[in-house]
Amino acid sequence: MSEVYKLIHPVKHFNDYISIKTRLDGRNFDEHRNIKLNVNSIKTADASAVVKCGNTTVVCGIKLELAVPKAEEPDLGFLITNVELPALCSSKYRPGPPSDYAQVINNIVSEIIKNSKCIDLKDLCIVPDKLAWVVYCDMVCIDHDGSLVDACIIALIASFKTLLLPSVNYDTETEEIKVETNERINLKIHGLPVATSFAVYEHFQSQIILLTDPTNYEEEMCGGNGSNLIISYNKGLLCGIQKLGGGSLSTENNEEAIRLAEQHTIAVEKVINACLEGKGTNK
Amino acid sequence: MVTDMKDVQDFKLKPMKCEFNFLSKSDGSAILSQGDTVSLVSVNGPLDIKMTSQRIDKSTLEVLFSNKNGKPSVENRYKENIVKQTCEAAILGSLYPRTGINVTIQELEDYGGFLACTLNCTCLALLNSGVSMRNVFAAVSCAVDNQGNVILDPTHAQLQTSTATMTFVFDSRDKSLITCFTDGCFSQDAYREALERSRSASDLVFAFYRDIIRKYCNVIG
Amino acid sequence: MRDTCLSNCEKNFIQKIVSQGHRLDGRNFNETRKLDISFGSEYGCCIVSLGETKILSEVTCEVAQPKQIRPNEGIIFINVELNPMAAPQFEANRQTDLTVYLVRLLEKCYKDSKCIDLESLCIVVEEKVWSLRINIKVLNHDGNLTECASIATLASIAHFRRPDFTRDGDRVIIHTLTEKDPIPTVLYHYPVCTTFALYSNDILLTDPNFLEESVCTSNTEEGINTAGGLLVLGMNQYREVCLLDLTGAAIYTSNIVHKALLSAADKCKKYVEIIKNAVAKDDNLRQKREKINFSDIITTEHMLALSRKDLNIQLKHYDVTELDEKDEEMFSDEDDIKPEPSKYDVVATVPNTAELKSKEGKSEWIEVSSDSGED
Repeated sequence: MSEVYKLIHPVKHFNDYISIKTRLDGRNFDEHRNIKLNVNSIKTADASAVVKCGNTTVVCGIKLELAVPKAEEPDLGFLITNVELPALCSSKYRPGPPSDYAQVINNIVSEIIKNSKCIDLKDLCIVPDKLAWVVYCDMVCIDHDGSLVDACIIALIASFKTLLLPSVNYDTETEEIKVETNERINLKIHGLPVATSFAVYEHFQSQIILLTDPTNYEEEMCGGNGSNLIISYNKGLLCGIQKLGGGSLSTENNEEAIRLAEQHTIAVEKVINACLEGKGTNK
Repeated sequence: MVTDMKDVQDFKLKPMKCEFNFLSKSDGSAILSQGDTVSLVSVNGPLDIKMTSQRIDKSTLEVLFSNKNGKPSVENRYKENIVKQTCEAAILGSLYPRTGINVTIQELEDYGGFLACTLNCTCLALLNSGVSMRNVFAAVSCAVDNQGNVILDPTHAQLQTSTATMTFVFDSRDKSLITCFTDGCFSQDAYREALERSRSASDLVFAFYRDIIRKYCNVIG
Repeated sequence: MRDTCLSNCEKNFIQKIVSQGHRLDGRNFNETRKLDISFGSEYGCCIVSLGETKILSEVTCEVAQPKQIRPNEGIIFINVELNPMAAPQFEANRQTDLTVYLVRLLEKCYKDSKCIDLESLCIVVEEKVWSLRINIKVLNHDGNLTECASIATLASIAHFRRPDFTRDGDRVIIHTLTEKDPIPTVLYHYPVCTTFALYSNDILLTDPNFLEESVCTSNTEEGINTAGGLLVLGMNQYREVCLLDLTGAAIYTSNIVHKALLSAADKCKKYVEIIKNAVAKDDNLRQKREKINFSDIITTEHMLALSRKDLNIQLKHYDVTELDEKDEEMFSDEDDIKPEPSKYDVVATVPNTAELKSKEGKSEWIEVSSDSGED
C-alpha cells in the first residue's frame, strides 16, 4: 500500500513522514547512516579505501607517478582528484564522458582538499624544478544513494592516511632516478577533513527541516542537484560551506547545521582512526 | 536608525553600474559592473528545447558559463551549477512546462567577487526578460583577512592577502540564505559575522534593483 | 533548435524596398553602421560593435613546441564561438557551418595573408615558440559577422602584447608584465574583411544587417534563386586584395566586383585608420596609468541604465563575545541532552575495517499509508 502511495503522491507521502518526525528509512532527522570503512583492499594501487555510507559505496585508489614540476611552481608536486560516476552506480547516469554532475562533485571534492590544506604540495616535491610526485586519486562510485561528497572525502582521506611514498634517489649529475620501493615514508597529512551533507526540506512553506546524510531519494525530493548543504571541517576550522538549491536557511537553521556537522565530524574521525589503528594491530 | 556611534561601523559596497538590453537579440540581457569586475548575462526563454531535456512539470533551466579565454574547464561546470540552482529557486518554472530557459554568462573582467557580480547580473537579466519569478536574489561576497577581520565586498588588492572568501545569496522576502559557497579556511565566528554583515548589506543590492526597475518603468509608463 | 524562419512578407518587403533604393534602417546603400571599439583591462582584449552586432575578441599566448616543418615560426590559432548569447537559435558547445565558415575566412585573412611576423614569435628554434590563440566570441548576432569579427581580430592583435623573455644559457626566463615591458606583435600590413549583400545581381548593400543577409541568400517562394548573395572582400591599407569569397548566386557581370573592390578599398583603409587610432589612444591612456576596463562600455545616460557610486551602509558593530554568550546558552542546553551516550558505536571488526553502527533499537521502520495521511 505504501509503495503505491509513494508513487502516486510522492510529495504528500514524503510530507507525511516529515510530519511524524521520521524519515523513509526510519532514521531521525539528525541521524546519519552506518559507515563501513576498509583500507588497503586493492593491492595494485599504492593506497586504497572502500567506504560504505548506508548504500552509497565509493572506492578510492591512489596511484603515484613521477613528473617534472611546472616551470611556474618548481617546488610543488601534483595532486589530481577524479570522481567517476559510472552508469552502474545509478540509473540516472549514462555511459560515456563524465556527466556535468560528476564534474561538479569532482570540483567540490578537490576544493575541500585544497582549502583544508591537509596536504602540502611542497611535500610531494623531490628535487625542485626536476622531480616531483604526481598523486592520482581516482574515486569510483559503485552505488550512488546520496551524500556522495561525504563518502568521497572519507575514502580519499583514509587512502591518504595509508599512503606510503617510496624514497627516491635523484642524481643531479647523471639525472638518474632510483626508486626504493622497500623504503617508504608516510605522507604528512595535516588534520582530517570531513564533509557533512544535508538536504534542506521546506515543509509547508515555513518550516525548514535539515536532513542529515540524505539518501538519493531525499535529495531529489528536496529539489536541486545532489545534497543542498555541505559543511566541511578540518582541525576545528571550517574549510568549506556549500549551499545549493533546496529550501532557504534562516540564522537558526544555519546554527543547527553547523552544530550537527561538528558532531558528525567527531563520529567520522573516530571511524577513520579506529580503522587505521585496527590495521596497526594486525601487523 | 542612528544609535550610539560606537556601535556603528561604516561599510562600503563597490560602485555598481548596470545597463539593461545590452544585447538586441536576447529576450533579456544585462551588463553589470561592481567595481572593476564586469559580467554580461543574456536570458532567452521560455523557448522550445529538444524532447529529451523537456520536463512535464516545469521549465528546464540551462546555464552556460564562458570565461574570457574560451577554454572549457571543470570549474565552469561548478559555476554553472551554482547559478543554475540559485535561479531554479527563484524562477516560477511551473508556469512554463515543457520549455527551456537559457541563461548565458560571459565573463568580461574578473577583479574579485566575480560570481557575486554574475549572480546579481543574472537576476537583473531575468527581471529584464520578464520571466515570472518567486523572488529576486542578491549576492554579496566577503573576505577574511589574515588577522581574522571580515571585509565586505573585497577589492582585488584585499583578496590577495585574505585567507578565505565567502559568497552569500539571499532571497528578497525574508532574507534567508539561498546559496552559499566558500573558499579557504575560516572559523565559525568569522562565518557567522560574514553571514550577518552580508545579510544587512544585501539591502543595498535590493535597493539598486528597485531603483533601476523604477527608472525604466517610468519610461514604459 | 531550428533556425528562425523568415516570413514571405519580410522577404518580399525587403526585396521591394531595396529595388526602389531604400533600406529598412534608412541607410544609403554604401553606408555602414556605427563602429565602436573598446578595450578591456588586459592586453589583446576588445569588444567591437558594428551597429547592434557585438563581438568580443581576446588574444592569449602560451609557450608551445613549434611545428616540425616550421621550426622557427610561432603558431596562430583562431577560434570562433557562437553560443545562445549571440541569438537564441544557436546551441551551446556545438560547431555549426557558420562558425567553420567564419574561422576559415579569418584564417585566410590573417594566417594565409602572412600579415603577422611569425618569426618574431620564436623563442628557441625547434624548441619553444609563442602560440597565439585568438578567441572570437559573438555576443550579439545582427548580421555581418565577418566584417565585425575581422575588425575585432585585427584590433585585438594590434593591441596585444606578449611578455618579454631573456635567455640564460639553456634556460628561458619569461618575465611578468610588471618586471619588463611587454612587446607588441609585428604586423606587416593590416587586412580587413568587408561584406556586401548582393541583390538581383546589380545592387550592392554595404554592411548588411541580419535581415538583409538572410533575404539575399534565400530563395523565392517558388524556390527560384533570386540572384542574390554575399560577397566578402578582404583588403589591406595598401588596397591589396587578400581574400575574396562569394556565397549564393553566381555573378555574371564583372562590373559588380569592380564596383565592390573600389568601395571596399576605401572602407578598409578607413577601418585600419580607426583601429590604429583606437590602439594608439588606448596606449596613451595606459601610459598615463589611467584605468581601462570593460565597465566603460556601460552607458549611463541611458534610460535602461543606472549607476551608483560607492554604496554606504552602516552596520552595527559585530561583537563576537556577545554572540558567544548566546551560543553558550544554546550549548548548555545541548549539554543536558548530550551526556546520554552517543547513538553510534565504532567497532573495528575484521582487519583493516572499521564500522560505525547505530545502537540497536534506535531506529524503527514506520510505514505511512494513504489512510494515515488522510487523518
